[in-house]
Order: sequence, then structure tokens, then C-alpha cells
Amino acid sequence: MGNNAAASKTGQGVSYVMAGRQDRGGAVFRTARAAALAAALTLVLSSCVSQGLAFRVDDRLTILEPKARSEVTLPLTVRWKIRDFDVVEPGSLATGAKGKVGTFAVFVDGTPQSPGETLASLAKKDRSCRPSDGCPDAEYLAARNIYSTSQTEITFEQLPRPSDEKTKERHDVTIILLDPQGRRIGESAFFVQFTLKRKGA
Amino acid sequence: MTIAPPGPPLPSSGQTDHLARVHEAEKLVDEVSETREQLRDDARRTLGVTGDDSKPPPLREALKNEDVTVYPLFVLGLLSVVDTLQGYAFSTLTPEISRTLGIGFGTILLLGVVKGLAAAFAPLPMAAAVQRHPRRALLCLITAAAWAVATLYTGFATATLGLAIVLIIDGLSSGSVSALHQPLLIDSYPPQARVRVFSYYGALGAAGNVIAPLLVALLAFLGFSWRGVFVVFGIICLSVLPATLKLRDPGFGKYDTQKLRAAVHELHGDDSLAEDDVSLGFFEIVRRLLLIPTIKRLLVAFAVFGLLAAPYSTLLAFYLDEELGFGPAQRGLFFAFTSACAIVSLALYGKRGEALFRKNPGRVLEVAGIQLAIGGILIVVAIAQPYTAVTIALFAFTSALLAILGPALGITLLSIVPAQMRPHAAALYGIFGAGVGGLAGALLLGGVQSRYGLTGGLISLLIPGVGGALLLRSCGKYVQPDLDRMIGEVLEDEEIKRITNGGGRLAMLSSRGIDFSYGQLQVLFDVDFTVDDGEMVALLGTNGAGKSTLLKVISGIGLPTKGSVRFRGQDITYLDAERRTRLGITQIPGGRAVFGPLTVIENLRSYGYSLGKDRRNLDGLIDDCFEAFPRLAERRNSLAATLSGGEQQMLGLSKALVMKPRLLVIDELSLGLAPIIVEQLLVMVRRINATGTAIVLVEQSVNIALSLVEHAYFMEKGEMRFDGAAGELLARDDLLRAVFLEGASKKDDA
Repeated sequence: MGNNAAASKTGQGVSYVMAGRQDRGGAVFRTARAAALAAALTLVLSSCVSQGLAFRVDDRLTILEPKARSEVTLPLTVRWKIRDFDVVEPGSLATGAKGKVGTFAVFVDGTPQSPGETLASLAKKDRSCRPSDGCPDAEYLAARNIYSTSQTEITFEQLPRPSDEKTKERHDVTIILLDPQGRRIGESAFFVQFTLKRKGA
Repeated sequence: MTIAPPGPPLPSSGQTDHLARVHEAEKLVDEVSETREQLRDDARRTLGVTGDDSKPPPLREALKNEDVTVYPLFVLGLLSVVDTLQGYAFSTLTPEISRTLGIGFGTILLLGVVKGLAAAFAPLPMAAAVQRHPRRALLCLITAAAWAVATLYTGFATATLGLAIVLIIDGLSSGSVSALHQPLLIDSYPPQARVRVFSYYGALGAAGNVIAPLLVALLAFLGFSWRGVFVVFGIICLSVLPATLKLRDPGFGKYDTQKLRAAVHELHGDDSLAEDDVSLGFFEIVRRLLLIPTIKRLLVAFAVFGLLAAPYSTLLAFYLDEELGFGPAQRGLFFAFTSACAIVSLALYGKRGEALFRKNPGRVLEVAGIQLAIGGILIVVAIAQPYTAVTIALFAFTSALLAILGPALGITLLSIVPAQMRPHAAALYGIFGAGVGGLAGALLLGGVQSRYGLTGGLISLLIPGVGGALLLRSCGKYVQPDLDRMIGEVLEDEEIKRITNGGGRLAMLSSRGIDFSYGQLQVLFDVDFTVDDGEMVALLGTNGAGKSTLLKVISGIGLPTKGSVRFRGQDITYLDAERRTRLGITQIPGGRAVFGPLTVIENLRSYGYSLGKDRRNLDGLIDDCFEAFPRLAERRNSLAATLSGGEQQMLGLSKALVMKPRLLVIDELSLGLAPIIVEQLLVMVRRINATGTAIVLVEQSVNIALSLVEHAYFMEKGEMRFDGAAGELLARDDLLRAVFLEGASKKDDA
């Protein structure tokens, strides 16, 4: 079979296909237009929620201890420093620039609440925790390894034991900023991961 | 025409004019087989299989000969690179996303699974979308735009729902790539360059795995949060879109299927390519693909490979973290390094793979199998020995070995199917690899890992590694026959179209070289069967000869493993039974062919319903049935299950009166009925035939059958032993003895 001759035949086959495409040009164009419209709409909707989103890392808080991925023992002290942020007592009436005054919440092996929410939102799904009984209080939160503090350090006598027995326990601590009313400020979350070596292990 | 020895030669004087005409039509089909044989060797070379040690031409030369540029490869490779960005960023930045949005880690993992499922099943609708119209270039652009927007929008997600939407969009768009990119690439390049093109495409994809971690590290260093990373990645994805605007779809099979078709016309000195009239639907194509031996085994191999590949990188990441103490940056560098090794491997493999494919396409799979086995063993060695540097080197070598599986499996899979079925084949690849294998791997090895730890999990990968290797090796021997089968199908299809377009008259139904198996048990062997317009033929044979199975193949209830069924010149081998009904093939199955729980009139209406006939016409047709069979009119409101055997057969035969088929296939009409009832039914069969409907009558009773027909077939043990005049069959004691002995034996038993 000669290649050139074959190619010419092939060309005819393709031209048939191409002719078919022209007939469907309108449909393809409409599909492309709908896709472009959807993309544009998505972009517009995206821009609607762009306010308040953090596209750069918030570096106001630095965790000093423990070092990332270090091996630690109990009791464990987590220490940090912060700048451009006035630390006040929880519930304080102190005023200041929005997002620049408040307290800290510390989570051990846990996920913080959504931005703008209080720690109480974490107990929403717990029917046994009734706001009328003052729940969630500090004790309730501590039982779930969540702590609120106006200090720049916190010491743990114990850390939660993982369900599977391992010689090395992986833990992480996440610190977020709360405003004086206890609402999470922005999306910032500061995080350190470390390995706990229990005595006798 | 199959006339098997032993037996005396057939006297030609006994043939009627009608039979001579049928055999004339059969001769044209034999001519088709001759054309197929003549062109097969050339066709193999057209598909890049020379069968010798000759070196493939340099890529530049191969492309220049066909006036092709590297643009499609570059563009699709570029899309493949940016496709990896969202996936990599999401898996790496999951902890940050979780803490920022206040979404639990488990929820995010669940979203990842949803995305994986979307990616696994997206190729199927994409294959359906492109099956009739080659607009893959446009769809490549649309899907790339979709994942670019999804990547960008990930940076703006503020809640679980938003994140779920972008992940599903990303999964759907990036998953559908498997039904688009490789089929488009294979149609854009000549066979002499395809293995290299696939290898370089794979290398570009691996480059994404090098670039993504480096970019994440760079952006993190520059102070970007995870949102910033996604926004930058989204902008990068969007910025490459203009580069794809000149991408064009060359049409299906420009360099192979179309050339094979053109060769048929060249051989006969004409130049008109025919148009498909009966093209397979989506599920018919999928069902047809699943009957190809190489594809069946390859899909299992893909699933086993997915079992290894899907959890491999996750387990490895945890292993690096917990056992070697690698932080995120070190892990990113590790994966960038191993991906770089994969790129080198793919670049080196291209030419060697091309040469392998030219000599023996099956060998490509065998070599891939060996590399998979070695890769599995190296994983075990890497974690068993104590030196970190050696571990890294062994994992890098494993990555290099496993990288070639993509192009090797891809080129084999797509080379043995006609061009228009490639999107479907590629989609099945995605489903079995990422879907079946990936999900099973995540579940099974997750369990192994929690019980035996990371080391145990990684060691267990040896099982799918070796299993997949054995499967790939076993696939090797099927590739060449399947390639020849594909060539044969394309050539035969085109030759028959050429003949019919040129005014040649083919038999109404022509089944050629039919093989059929129930699982591993083959019951039909190379069966030829022809029925002409308006003809009534008898299909006779002993019990278990394969008569009913052949009818299933004709009516579409069963699909052959080999051979073709043509109806009025069109290939209907893999067409659904329902579509064959619409073309005019109706079967009255053996036994009582009625819906027992429905009344007589409801049964008759159901025949009309299947054709969508309007009620007015249907009522008239039902009246015709009642006129033909007054007994049915008397029992119109009785349940069909309460009718006698003869009445039920009358009702079954009424199907032909309602549906008015071109070909009526009747299985065992007289079985268990009184002679007087049989005579009534036969009168009706003759009347139906007299209206022009061709009839295939399968009968145990030789006397009944041969009293009705001029043309008879006789089957024994799955083979066609006789094809000729009915009178001549009566003279063949060697064949009929078996039937009579069987009948006598039954009487004795009774």
C-alpha cells in the first residue's frame, strides 16, 4: 500500500468528519459559551467572598516551644510570642483595632472552629451540653483538649493517648486568636507538630 | 461456506436457483475474506508493527514524513503538568485548609474520596460525548478551563460545600482527561512515533510532579498561605489555556483506521470511503471492548496495578515521615527527585519501547510486567535495608521502573481497538485503574497498614506487584491476535461497504467465523450461517449442537468472541438485541415464548409496545392475529400461563404478525405439541414467509423442518457440518443418524 495514496484517501475520510463538525458548529459554540459563562460566574462569585480571606501567611504569632517535629516528654509547655496584638482577659471590654485585640485558644490534636465562631460552636452537636447549664465551660472544653488563655504559654501535664498503642505518639497543637467576645479572628491558625515520648515507653 | 468432511461431495444438480443466488451472495463475503488476508501484512505495517528488528525512524523524521509537529504533544503535556498542581497542593496543604476553615480532617479526607470517585467515573460520559463527533480538542480546552477555575476557586472556598464543589469539578475535569488526551495523541501522530509520544507525554506529566512541590515550597517561602498557593496555581492553569487554542482534532484514526479503510479501496481501484450507517452505541462499544481478550486481562491488570499505585504514594509519604523523619519540605524534595528519575526513564524508554512495539507489540506488555515485578521487589528491599541513602535510591529506581507502565499499557490498549472506540477503552482504563484498583487499594491496604504498620503496608504491595506482573505477561500473547482481529474487522467492514455501495448484493444475514463461549467453555467454532431475503432455512442438529446459541448471536442476546454478523450488509455483531429488533430481527425463543402473568391481549400489546407503534395500528394488528388464530380471540382475557402449549406457541408466533420483521428466528416451534397443532402453526409460518419475511427455523424434527424449507444447515458439536439443499441433507445418513439415534434413545428412555 503506498503511503501517499493512502494518505489522500485518509484526507477524504477526515474531510467527511470535518463537514460533520461544521453542522454541529452551533451546538459546540453554545457549549463553549455556556462553559465560559459558568467560568465567569464562578469568578464573580469568588470575588464576592474574597474579603477577609488570608492569601498570605499570618506571621504575627511564632511558636517558640516545642520545636517543630521535635521529641518531647511530659509535662509539656507550649510557649509562643505575638506581635501587633493586644492580649486581654477573656470577656474584657477593652477596645482596639479590629482583629488586633483578644485572647488565644489552644487545641491539642483538634480542629478549630470556623472563622467568626466562638468556642461554643464546637459543642453545637452535643445534646448533653446545654447553654442554659452554662455549657460549654472551661472544664467541658478542657476535657476535649481545648483551652482558652490570655497567657503566651500553656503547660500540659497529660496529653490524649492515641487509640493505637505506638512507641512514638504524634501530636499537634494549634493556636488561634479570639476577639474579646470569644469569636475566632480571621482564618489564622498557628500550628506545631511534635512527637511525645512517654516515660517508661 | 462450511461443508465439513466426512461425507460424500454435494451434488450441484440438486441446488435450486434460489440456493444458487444465496451462494452467489456468500461468495461476495468470501471475497471479503480474501481482501482481508491480502491486506493484513500491509495493515500491520501501517499500524507500526513490522515484526522485525528494524529501528524506528528518528522522531523528527517520522513526524516530518506525515507533516506533523510536536504542538499537540507539547500542549497536552502542558495541560498534564498543570493538571497535577491542584491535586498536589490539596494533598499537601490539607492540614492548613482544615485548620483555617474549621473542617474536620475526616471530612476533608471524605471530600478527597468524593473527588477520586468523580475522577474515576468522569471518563465514561466524556467517552460518550466524543464517540460520534471528534471534538476532543475543544473538550480538552473546556476541561482545562474547568480545572483552572476549580484550582483558582479553591483559594476562595470558605466552607465545606464550596470546597466540595471545587473538588468535584476538579475531579470531573481532570479525570475526564484519560478519555481525551491519549486518544487524541494517538490520532495526532503516526504509529511509527506513538510509543515515543506516549513516553514523552508521560514524562511531561511527571514533570508536573517535580514542579508542583518546588512551587509550593517557593510560594510558602514567599509567605503565601494555602489560599495564595491555589490562587497562583489557578492563574498558572488559566495562563496556559491560550496555548491550547490552536489544538485541532484530526478525526478518529487518521493514521491507522482510516488508512486501513483507504487501502481496501486502493486495492480495488476506487476511492470512495463509505459512511457508517450502523454505528455502535456507547454501552455496545463498552460491551464489545470487554469481549477482547487483551482488554479483559489488561483491565484486571490495571485494577491490580491501581491496587498498588493508589496507596503507594500515601504509604510512602507516611513512611518517609514516621520512619525516616522527613518533614514536608524533605518529602517534597524526595517526590520531586523520584519524579525526575521517572522523567529520565520515560525519555530513555521512548525509542526502545518503539522498537519493541515494532517487532512484537505483545512484548511491550511482557517487559512492563517484568518491570512491575522488579519494582515490587525493590520496594521491599528499600525498606528492609538500613541505609537512608540506599532507600532513597531504590525508591527512585522503583519510580523509574513503574513510570514506563503508563505508556506501555496505554499504547497497547489503544492500538488494538478501532479509533472510535479508543476514548471508551481509555475510560475503562481510568475506571479500573483509579476507580476499582484505587478504591480497593485504599480500603485493603489501609487495613493492612493499621494492623501491620507502615512497613507491613509497603511490603504487602509486593502482592499486587507480582500479581499484576503475571497478568501483564499473560496478556502479551493475546496482543498480536487482537491487533490482527482489529485489522480484519476494519478491512472487512470497509470491503463490504465498498461492495454494497458498488451495487453488489450481499445476503440479508451473513454470520461469518462465529466463535462463542459461555465463560471458558467454547460452544461455537468458526460457524458460517447465511440467510437471504425472503428465504426460509432450517437449522438442524443434535441436542447441545449450538443451534440456540447461534440464534442468540443472531438476535443479539449473546455476543460472539470472534466473527461477525452482518444484516443487510451492516455489521451488527455487537449491536444490542433491542436495536436489532428495530432493524427487523425478531426471535421467538424456545419453550413457551409468552409473558405468563399477562393476558393474551396484554402479550400482544407488549409486542407492539416494543416497537412504539401507536394504539390504532396496534389494534388492527391484534385483530389480524385473532383472525389468524381464532382460538386466541376466544381466550383474549386469559392469562398466558393458563394457555395450552399449542395456544402459547400461537401467541408467540403472533409476535411476527404484530412486529412484521424482516427476519424471524423461531426456536423449537413443534416441541411437545400434537401433530394437528403443529400443522396449524406451520401453515402460519408459511403465510408469514410468503409475505417476504425470511425465517430461520430451528427444529429437532428433521421431517417437519425439511418439509418446509429448501435450504438447510446442520450443526454438530458447535460446528456447521452441512450447508445446502434440504433434499441433499436427507441423503446424508452420516449426519442425520445422530439425530435419529438421539430421538430413538429418548423414546427408549421414555
